[in-house]
Amino acid sequence: MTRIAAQIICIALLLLPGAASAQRLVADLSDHHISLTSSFTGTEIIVFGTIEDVPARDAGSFDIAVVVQGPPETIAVRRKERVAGIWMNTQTVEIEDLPSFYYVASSSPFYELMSASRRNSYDIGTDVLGLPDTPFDPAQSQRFEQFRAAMIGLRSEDGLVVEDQQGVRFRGEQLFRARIPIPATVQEGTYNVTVYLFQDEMVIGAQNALLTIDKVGIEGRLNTLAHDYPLIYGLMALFMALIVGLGANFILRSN
Amino acid sequence: MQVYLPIAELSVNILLLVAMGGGVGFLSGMFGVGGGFLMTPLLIFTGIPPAVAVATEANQIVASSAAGVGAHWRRKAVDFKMGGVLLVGGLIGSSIGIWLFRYLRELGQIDLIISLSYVVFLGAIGGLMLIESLGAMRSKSKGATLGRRPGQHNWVHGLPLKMRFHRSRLYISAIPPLAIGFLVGILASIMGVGGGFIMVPAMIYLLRMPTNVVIGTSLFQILFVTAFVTVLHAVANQTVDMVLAFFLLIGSVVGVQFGVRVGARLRSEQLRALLALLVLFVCIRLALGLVTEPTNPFSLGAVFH
Repeated sequence: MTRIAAQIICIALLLLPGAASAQRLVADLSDHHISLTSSFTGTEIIVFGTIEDVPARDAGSFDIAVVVQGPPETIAVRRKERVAGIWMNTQTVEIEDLPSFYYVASSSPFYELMSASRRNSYDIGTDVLGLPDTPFDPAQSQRFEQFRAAMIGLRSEDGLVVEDQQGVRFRGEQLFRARIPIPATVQEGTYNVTVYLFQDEMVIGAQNALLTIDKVGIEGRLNTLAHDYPLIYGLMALFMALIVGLGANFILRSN
Repeated sequence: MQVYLPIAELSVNILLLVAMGGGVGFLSGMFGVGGGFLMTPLLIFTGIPPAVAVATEANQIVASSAAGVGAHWRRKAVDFKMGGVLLVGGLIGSSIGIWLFRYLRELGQIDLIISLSYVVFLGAIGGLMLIESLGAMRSKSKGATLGRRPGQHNWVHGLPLKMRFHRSRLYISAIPPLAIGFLVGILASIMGVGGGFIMVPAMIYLLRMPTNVVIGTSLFQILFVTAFVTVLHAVANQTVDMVLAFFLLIGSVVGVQFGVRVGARLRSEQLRALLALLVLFVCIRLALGLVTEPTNPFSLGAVFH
């Protein structure tokens, strides 16, 4: 959460009048709310916007990056090794404050020109995804990097980590849009969508939008109940089983 | 027709679940066994996380044992005092089992331990059953009868804390039934089985209970232990999938009926040999999963603090 707070401060500073030059970034989402029903198989959200009040001499010199981050969580990345003929988990690396969904797209591969540490402060790029804010000792970092890369691979397979360096398309010199693919496996929660405006690999503007993803329907409610009121859920499961078991017994006895 | 399983967090065809419930129900009706030790591996093969398969299976066994215990109760074939002692052991065992389950889950080893326990138990039971049923088939064809030697269980009668069990017509120490209940409780929480396959032979050969009260009494213990395990798993691990359990149950209550009818018409030695082969097949399938190199050695898991 501290990282998000730091980002909000960064963005707020950028938005201060006089901090940026004349141009202004305006962006929004095609939808601010997604309902996860039992038949949800994934969807797409469009981020669109424009750069207003561009001085003629600056036209066409801008780049856009879009970053979407799901609710943060701590995950364990485990590696299996053969022990006495059996494949078992032998090593674990925990990655803290990792967004459960991560999407980054840009209008051109410009951000590779920026240093990783600068991009890390904006969370731009899968190569900085999951990295801690403060660097740690190099001996540790090689192992961490190996596990972090494995995590990116696994999450990419599920569509939970997406990087598209041409994902933001300009129409003309000011209008832009990007498609965010939301896979079927997303978690519920509040998703942070940030649009960055760049000029010469420098962030000169940013705008934030929130996307809410909710579970609906009986399955969604049961999941929420199971985690928030586990005792009530457990008693319900027990009650359900007793009703079915005794009900079957009653029906079969009368036959 | 897909249904989203809220705890397993995946979509599965409803008909597949009902068919699985029906199939395992049919087998358990035909062979007169609880289906837990077949259903849990089957769920794992379907892609349900092992931890969810185990806890959900405990939930399902509540229903099947509730249906069974009612019938035995009416026939006065339940020794409630013996059931109570077994239950006390079961509650202690399952509490420890749940704690162990949670600890292994935090270590990232629960899936391995579940599979390993199944390989060991299915291998041992399937192997013993196969040897026993083949022996019975052979001796029958020879026309000889294989006499069972009475076991040397005198040590059971030398233990302290003696209690009188009227319905079983026994005066024995409470320690063996407590220990049996304890072991079965651990198995219920870690493997998602009722444990009848251990408890019933132990009650007959170790405690020397009359066979007419054995099934009812073990079902009585299984009902309360699995009920306790279901609630504990829900609270400690949040791994009970009610929707999954429901559709499996719908299939199994029907399947059991057909299984009982078919089983009554078949010869028991052949039936047991068939079941033994099935158990060994499941065992080998699980064992292969443990020894073959995974396509990706890395996996992601939740962190519990």
